[in-house]
Amino acid sequence: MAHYNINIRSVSDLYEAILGFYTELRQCDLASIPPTMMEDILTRIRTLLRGAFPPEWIREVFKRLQEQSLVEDFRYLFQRLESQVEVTLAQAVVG
Amino acid sequence: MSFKKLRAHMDDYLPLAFGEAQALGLKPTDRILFVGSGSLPMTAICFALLFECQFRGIYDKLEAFLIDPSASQHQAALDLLESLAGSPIASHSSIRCLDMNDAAILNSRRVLADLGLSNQINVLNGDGSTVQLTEPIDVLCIASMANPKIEIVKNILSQQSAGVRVLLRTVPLQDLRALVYEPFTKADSELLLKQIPGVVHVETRIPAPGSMVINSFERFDFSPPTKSSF
Repeated sequence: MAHYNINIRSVSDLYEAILGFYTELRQCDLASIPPTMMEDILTRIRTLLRGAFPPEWIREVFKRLQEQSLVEDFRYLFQRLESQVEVTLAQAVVG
Repeated sequence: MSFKKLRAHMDDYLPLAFGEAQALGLKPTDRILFVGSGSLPMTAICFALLFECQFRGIYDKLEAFLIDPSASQHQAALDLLESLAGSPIASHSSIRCLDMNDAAILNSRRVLADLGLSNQINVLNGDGSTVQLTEPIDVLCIASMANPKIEIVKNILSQQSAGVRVLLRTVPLQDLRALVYEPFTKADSELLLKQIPGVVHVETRIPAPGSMVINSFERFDFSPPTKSSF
């Protein structure tokens, strides 16, 4: 399930990695996932986002995602997960 | 202070909040409003800790760590902040957080109480696009997830009779980061300038290559027009 930037060598790899994360985000939204797994997914997505990919790859990936109408959904699911992780962390801080 | 539990989560927030504090020229006397603070008001916490470092005379040391983007220096900065946990937070700051989610407000108030920051950071319940503030502000920060940004800025600034520094957190448009947050585009910026008299654009800052930071930000200055045109 893990996606590491080092394995991304083409625009198709990048697109597939994002689709993989999209699937994971959907699973998080549908099922009760342990907080550590949620944090792990968030961390791996953030790692991918920080990657220095060629601008033409990014344009192509957005084009493909937009064709599938996935951008808004990906954003929504990511933000939901981020909020959920914050709730978990907040609860951990106060014990 | 349960700083240890927050530490891992500060990787993203500390360099971002530090850069924002620098760009805004934040001072402990600034009355700051952060819109969309969520369950874990990390930016407000970072600002309060930066002020505490100033108060304790260790800000220069922290700044030296944070200016260097290497992982070891980042950990040194976190060590320094963790060292604050041994004694109560004594510095003054006037930071208000605004959120419209009841659970997030409750969570964040508990976190701040646990961290000993309830005197420095106050959490308000409200929608940024309609809230009526009871006190003036010097600085307005808006979270990535807080929308619609122009309406929020318009509402808050329409209540101000003195200058306000404004920071909108966003993501670069031609970047993978735009997959997770809605970018505030150049067209949005132009619309904001057109719709809100007295606002000027100051700066766009995007994360440096290899940076831990996810967000970019847009910085504006507001001086109230002599005759209100809102």
